[in-house]
Amino acid sequence: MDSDERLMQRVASGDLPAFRLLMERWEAAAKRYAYRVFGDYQSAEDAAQETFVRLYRAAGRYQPTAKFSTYFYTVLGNLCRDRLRATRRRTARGEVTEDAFVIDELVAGPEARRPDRRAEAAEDRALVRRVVAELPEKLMRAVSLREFEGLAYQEIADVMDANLGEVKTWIHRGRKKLAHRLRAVMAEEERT
Amino acid sequence: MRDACRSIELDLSAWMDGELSVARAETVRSHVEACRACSAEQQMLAGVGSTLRRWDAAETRYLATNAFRSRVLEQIGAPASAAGSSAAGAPDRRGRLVLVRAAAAAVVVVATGAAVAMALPRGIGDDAERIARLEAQLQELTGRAETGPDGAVAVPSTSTPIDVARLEDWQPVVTPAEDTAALGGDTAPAEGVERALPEAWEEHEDRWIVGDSFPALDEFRRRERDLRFRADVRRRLAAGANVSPERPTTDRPAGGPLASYLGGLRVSEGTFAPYAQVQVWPIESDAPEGVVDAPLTASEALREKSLEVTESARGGAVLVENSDRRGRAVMLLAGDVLHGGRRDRVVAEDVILAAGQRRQVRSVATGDARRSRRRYSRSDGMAPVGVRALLAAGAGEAAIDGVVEAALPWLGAAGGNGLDAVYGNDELLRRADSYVSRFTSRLDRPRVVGFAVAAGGDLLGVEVFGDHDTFDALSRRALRSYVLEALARPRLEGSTPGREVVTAALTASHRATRDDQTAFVDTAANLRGYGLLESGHVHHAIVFTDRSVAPGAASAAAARGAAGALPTAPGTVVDDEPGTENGPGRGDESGGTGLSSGSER
Repeated sequence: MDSDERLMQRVASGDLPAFRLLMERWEAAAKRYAYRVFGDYQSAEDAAQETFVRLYRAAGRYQPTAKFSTYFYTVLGNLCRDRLRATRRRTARGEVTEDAFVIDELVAGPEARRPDRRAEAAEDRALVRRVVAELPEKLMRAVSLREFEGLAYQEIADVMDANLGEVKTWIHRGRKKLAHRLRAVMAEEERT
Repeated sequence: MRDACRSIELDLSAWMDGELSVARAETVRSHVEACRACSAEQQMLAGVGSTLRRWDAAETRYLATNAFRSRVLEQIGAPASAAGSSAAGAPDRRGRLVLVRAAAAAVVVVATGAAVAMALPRGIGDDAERIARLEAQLQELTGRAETGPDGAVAVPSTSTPIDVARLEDWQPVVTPAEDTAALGGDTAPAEGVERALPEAWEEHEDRWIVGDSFPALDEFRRRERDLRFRADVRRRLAAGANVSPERPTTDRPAGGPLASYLGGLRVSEGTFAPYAQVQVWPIESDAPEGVVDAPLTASEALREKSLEVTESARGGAVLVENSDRRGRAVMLLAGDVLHGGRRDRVVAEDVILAAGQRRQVRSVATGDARRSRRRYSRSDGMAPVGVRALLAAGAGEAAIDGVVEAALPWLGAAGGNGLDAVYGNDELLRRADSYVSRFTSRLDRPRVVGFAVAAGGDLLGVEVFGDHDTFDALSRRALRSYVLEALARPRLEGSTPGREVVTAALTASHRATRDDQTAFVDTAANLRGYGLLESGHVHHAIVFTDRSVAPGAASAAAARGAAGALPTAPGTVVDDEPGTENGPGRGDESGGTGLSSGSER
């Protein structure tokens, strides 16, 4: 079976079946990652789509010395970061009124046979989503790449163009912040 | 915080992730073991990880889709036909060119003595009807051949000549491993092919396939299985009248009404498209129509107040009474979820209940307890088929809870309460029903009495009813239990099996059912199942495979004391933890399948 790196080399020479195979392998990962950033299925789908387009167009510049996963998450991460910043800028200018992370209605649906339980589950998810979204970007990226994508610290360092010490710190601080925020938010929820 | 703790703290996460050197990891480990504060900190961090992963599982369940890939290909300006082509912007005529070259390649491959499988090149679609007819003819022929007398498989005569010439039109697919063995070389066949026609072949993981012949690798694999079947038929035809069976499933011929019924089932003719890696094949029967009205489902009967279900003094059972004034029977199926009582329950046996009849029905409790409720008021559906398979294997409450808990995060129902979390989640049910709706039109045919369902590469099971009307009444409810099972899996792997896999399952089930038994197990074929019979009439039958229960869920069940994987040997009772409310299979008259025929009408 061809490695991802070999497939990328074939993509560089215009090999579409190789590109398709690469998409089959990485499509779900791209969408999951983007969803964590945007909290919105449609935005995640769009970002994943644009990532593969960029990968195809930049395949000629891909150096097989780098792991494909590193390259992939770098392209995807940069794209998500740019889009997120653009969204925040538009929000700040008043062009976007929705919070990019408020997607309960998409996740949960409007009607509930068991409103109490459904609302509870949706609230829990929304709460975690909110807390994750509140993390500083670097911490969020580092924690996501570790917790959800299972990347090694060195791979995360490569993706984020950082050194191992920074990655170690970001992941630890990210987890701690999440723990404290989750605890605080939950306590607040209980009080209200 | 002490100095020692400060020096450890930053390394806690890295230690948990296995990212420290051996020496440093040992230092951190010994400190954490000795220090209560750091131990608490470590547990807190670990808790964050599990919370995040649970949240993630509930929110980011994505499947790879052809539609997505098509949109990307469109955006990069690839031609519409690029789905399977090997060069962007290649002219459309390339497909035709490849056909010609592939034919030449076939000659090359055959001439070098390589093992080949048959493949269906692009362009065959113009003769699709003829191919479909031929496929059905061959399938029927093979089905009959496998049920020949005396354990020998004989190719029967057929009034319609087999269109062998058409079979020859199919072009080869080269399997490098086989070729290598045949030629004694490392990569000689592939190189041979490449040398002859470098642009006609493409490498797809471990296969070389004819370029531009298939829109996707999944499609190729599906085709490949079909074609292996055809190649097998060709081999049989060429070998003459008698061919030894590859794997006898029983020592003696099958008999009895259930065996006869299963032997008369077949996959409907036609081509059926999968949806999001879920495939549903209609199953037909030539059995005569049922002589009675279709029974009421649990849901209908409870809604119409024709069925009264109450807590029973006997543990592991509920008391049911059919009080339908119009004299209709009620059919309860193993897997029906009953809401109410002190705890919700999953019915654990198939039962036909005549009007006026009252009896105990075995069931397994699920979810949290309530205060002082006796009656069960509704049944919103059936448990995912993996749960039903475990019930058939005799699993009890703890095992079922284990499977349900493992499934809930993937179903987006995390944090819920047993199966009630599934049926209280409207968004999930809408999603499941959107799958079901994709398949209902193919099931709405007079002879269709059931279906077989695959998720990814796994055949989840085959479920059939006594006649079309009964099937029609229960099909959506039953099919949703398979869809829920598919949705409950972390990922669907592999491409959809070919219809021959379903045919093989039906044949094995038929052969494994002996005399008048209502349950069967074929350990060689990894199947088990049972039927609900009444006076020789089959109301319902189901075949589970070893893939009915997801491997992860089977582990969860095993951890709770169930054997998990299917099938278990006949007579095996899968025991539960001591002291749980239900004794799975205890006192079970069905020989340990966990199911009885229920023919007490």
